[in-house]
Amino acid sequence: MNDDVALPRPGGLDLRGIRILEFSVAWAGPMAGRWLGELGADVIKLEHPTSRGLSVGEGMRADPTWRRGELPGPALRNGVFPDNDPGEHWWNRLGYFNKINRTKRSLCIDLKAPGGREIFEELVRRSDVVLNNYSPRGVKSLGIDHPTLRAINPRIVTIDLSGFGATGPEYDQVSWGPILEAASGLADATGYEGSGPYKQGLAFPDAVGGLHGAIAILAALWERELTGEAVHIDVSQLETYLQLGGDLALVSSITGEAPRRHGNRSPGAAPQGVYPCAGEDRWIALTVDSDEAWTRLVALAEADGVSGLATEARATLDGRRGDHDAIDAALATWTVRFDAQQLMARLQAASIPAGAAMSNEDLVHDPHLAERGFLATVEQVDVGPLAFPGFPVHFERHEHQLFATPALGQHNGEILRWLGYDDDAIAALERSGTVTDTPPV
Amino acid sequence: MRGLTIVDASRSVGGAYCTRLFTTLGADVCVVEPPGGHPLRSAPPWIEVGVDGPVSAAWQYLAAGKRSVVAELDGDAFATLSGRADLVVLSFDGEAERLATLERARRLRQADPAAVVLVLSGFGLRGPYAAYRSTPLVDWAMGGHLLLNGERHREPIAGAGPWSSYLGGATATIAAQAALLRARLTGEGDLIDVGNMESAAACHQWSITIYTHQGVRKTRWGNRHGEAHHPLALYRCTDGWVVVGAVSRHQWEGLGIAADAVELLADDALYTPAERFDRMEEVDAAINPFFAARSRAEAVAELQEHRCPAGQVLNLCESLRSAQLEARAFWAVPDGLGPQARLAGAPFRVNDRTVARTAAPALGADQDLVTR
Repeated sequence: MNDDVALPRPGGLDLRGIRILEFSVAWAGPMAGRWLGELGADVIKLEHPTSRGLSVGEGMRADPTWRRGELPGPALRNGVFPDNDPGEHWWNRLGYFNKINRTKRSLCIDLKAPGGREIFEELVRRSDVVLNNYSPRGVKSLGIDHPTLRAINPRIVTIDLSGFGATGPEYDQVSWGPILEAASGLADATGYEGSGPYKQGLAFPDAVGGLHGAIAILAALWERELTGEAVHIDVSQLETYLQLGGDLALVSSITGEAPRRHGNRSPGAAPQGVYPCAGEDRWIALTVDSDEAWTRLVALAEADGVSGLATEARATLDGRRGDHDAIDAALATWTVRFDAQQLMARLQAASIPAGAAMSNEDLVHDPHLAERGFLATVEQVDVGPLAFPGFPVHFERHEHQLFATPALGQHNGEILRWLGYDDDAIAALERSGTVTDTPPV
Repeated sequence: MRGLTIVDASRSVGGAYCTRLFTTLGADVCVVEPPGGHPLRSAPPWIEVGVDGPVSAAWQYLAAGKRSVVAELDGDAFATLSGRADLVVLSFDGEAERLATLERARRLRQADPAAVVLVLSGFGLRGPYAAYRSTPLVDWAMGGHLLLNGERHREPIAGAGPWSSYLGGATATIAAQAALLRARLTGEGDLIDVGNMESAAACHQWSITIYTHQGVRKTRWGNRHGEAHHPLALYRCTDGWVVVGAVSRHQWEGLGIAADAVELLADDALYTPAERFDRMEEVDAAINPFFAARSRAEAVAELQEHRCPAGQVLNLCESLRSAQLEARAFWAVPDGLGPQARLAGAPFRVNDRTVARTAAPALGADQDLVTR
């Protein structure tokens, strides 16, 4: 723990007193840092002046023809700007960025400009963790590798969160989440029966990598508590993603066969599937996880006039699996008559596991998530108050914190003064371009 | 997390994954099972490893390195074990179990205020769906990930395993680690409530943000990535599929040069990723011949040479033979499952320390822990 910040107190934040320096891009690295920030750590995001991008921002103007609910035109789409308006300071209004970088402070610094390295090294001396999700090549080039940082701070924890890990023949491959998904073998295992492979709609490995990045940091902090010494963890996002398929990999290693794609079905429960509901692209997922649940499902459907579902053979799992196509067809004619949420409530009341296939819109308006306070409204510089996905854990005793994503370089002055720089020195750093709050044009 | 003692009385995939993570990090995890065995012992997929019939690969994977004790959760044996634990993990499914779990958690916290008690479930301890039941497919649906996978003209599809439930397990692990760190410093434990729906909803890329910011309802795009980028998609080669991720300007240029599709690079508008998405049929028509004429390995090598992210879509057997994973000694050989068997290694190693990979325990194999 750093000695210049408050130690944890009963009922407070779990990670108060921990300071984390974050170099990160895209999703996995920022997500790991955000987790730690919301658990109470002081996360300083070190941003290069161009890190929020130029190509998406230069010369952008709001599109007066756009209407809420429409996909924005291509020029503005990537930014996910509030009301599709980049505003004057577009770099502080990037929705995708503001979603994943909250509860951090921003120091916008060019480490290779005059004085930049000295500032960074002083920060390392005063910090507990340096997190990055750069490529191994980038880590070396920037001088943020573990041996270098340990020489500065003998108790430093470093986490390298790269796509393939820092070693091995593919360590230098450039990657995105879907590429890791493909390398894992799990995209190949996913798909409709008889189809080709399918990737996830989102870059799922980034989310998995971000979660495991946070786990790695916490494990390293625990280890440091035990030994008092520096800790380094090399995290391969590919290896974190493979955790999801440990059971499938074990089977394939023994049988020598890749998993067969099975759509939404399960060898252990039937019927299981995703069935149409009333409305456009509305679906319900349900699992009949016992013979008794099957009896209850049949009773519900029969009460709505569906006949012929129950047969002697279908009283057992094997019988239902053998007749799955016919059961699915019959169930679909029933489910399509109902609103997905209402049908979910009816099925759940009968103790049949079921859930509506929630859209992003559904999640935002969902009463359960609302009651649990999932959506968080934060006041964003250059934006104003807006709702974001919140913190998904509920502690009885402890707290979490959640505040807006910083504007680019918002905390330059505050952090530099804390490091001992006076106003003249800070002004000189601004003149030399070492620190700034505006991307170059 | 060496030195920690954890009692896992959960019955869910998420709970088992959470404590698997702790096992790989060096904690001592004891699974407390009902007399009939943990439900995951009979969960698919199954493997044939002996004369006693199929065993669950899910259990073998998730319980590897843990201990097993058979005990009722309201009996003295469980109280004894949990009284020695730093972390007790519980789970529930449905209203009756929810009420029992709440009561159990309260008792544990009263008995030992320094204990951390973690409760996992589909929907959490409180809220309108708290009494609902869940399964991995329901977790996929309710967390909002299911609807984004698959073809638009067909039903959405889940991934090939309970991965949305794993998000709950990983989320719970973070929360428990933080609470344990804090308990070590302050002596104060906690009760932690983690629901899979909320955990999965917190793992969206920008789906929720495009609705709160712009009112846009996100949908699925098959093997393309959706809305703002292209190509970030699968392409067919002579021997299978590759995935290409030409997101940035220089990656787009790398793809255009590698695929000899310079006419695309001459079109300034196509330097905007979302423009490429809107014109994906045109883009794909220009680059498909490159893939159709090459094997996966050839296509990926040429694209990576031009610093365009690309990778082969491997099947799991190929992934098991991956030179990268071999070099990093990722796959472990578990005891008792035969010489070919491979278990996924730890997601990372603390100071490069490897935790010994033992087999999943037999039911009640460590019963003497209760009296030790």
